[in-house]
Amino acid sequence: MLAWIEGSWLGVTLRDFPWAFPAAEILHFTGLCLMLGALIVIDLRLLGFARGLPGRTIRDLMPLVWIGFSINAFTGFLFFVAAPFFYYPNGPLRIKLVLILFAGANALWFERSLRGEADHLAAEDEASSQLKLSAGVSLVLWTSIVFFGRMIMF
Amino acid sequence: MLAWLESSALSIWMRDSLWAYPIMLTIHAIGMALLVGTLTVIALRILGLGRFSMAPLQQYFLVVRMGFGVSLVSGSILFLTAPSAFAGAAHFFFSPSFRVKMLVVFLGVIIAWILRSRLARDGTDWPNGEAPQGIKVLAGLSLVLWFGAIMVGRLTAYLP
Repeated sequence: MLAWIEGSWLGVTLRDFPWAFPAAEILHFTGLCLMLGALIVIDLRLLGFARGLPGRTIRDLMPLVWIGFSINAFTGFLFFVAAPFFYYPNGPLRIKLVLILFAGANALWFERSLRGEADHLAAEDEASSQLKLSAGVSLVLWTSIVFFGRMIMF
Repeated sequence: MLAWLESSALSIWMRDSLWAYPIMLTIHAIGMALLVGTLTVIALRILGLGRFSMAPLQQYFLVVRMGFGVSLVSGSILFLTAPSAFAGAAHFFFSPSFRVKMLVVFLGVIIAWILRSRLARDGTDWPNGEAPQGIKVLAGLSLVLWFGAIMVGRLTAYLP
């Protein structure tokens, strides 16, 4: 399976162009900044920083989160296809992927149960403790995901 | 001077310890996310994303500053060490791509400074929250410079 991925047209093409890997890395960092930037603004507001931002700000910023996540899922997939034998057994990558699953579960909880409250927060409203918990978990998980992502090379 | 930096206790510790270098790189990436990520949201809002108020958004310059501080400290320590043990501080000092990065970061800091002071001065008075044309140009420039810094920063690993 890994050998098939490595020998696939995409895998070969990615390795044939010396600038393909650095270009994907730069895009991966760019996606990271888009996603984390929007999440930092949203999560810190929910945790009580920058009171004055209303909850509907979340709707304005959510596209940035999704654009950043899509860029990184795609470039991450390219890294893997270019060097599957390096990435498949890689410990930090496995930890990173598990943490992304946790972050996904937290996002699902937020969207399903908490989003209604969050969107309707007035500028000066304090978020409920459940919202604060979800925001704090999101910040801790995504920071850890960046941490383990950077450790993949070592 | 460079030789002295390379033989400093911090530099030696960074090279001798297996984990010091990767951890410092990671901290540099987290500083980047705080700095560039938050600044991107501010710049995009100035350029017209969303309708939320500018006044509370300014408070996030604190996060931008923290990100800059984290990146500056971790970056300075990385500068002392450089990726290969034989290179040391001279590796980055003589690297053209690193010098370009420093120039771009320097310009980015100046633009961020101007944006912050203009927002603090009259950001709340803009009609309908719409920024004047000049501020929008600065916000666009800020995006180009900081993502340019990330690009050149990554390329320092590949280019001389």
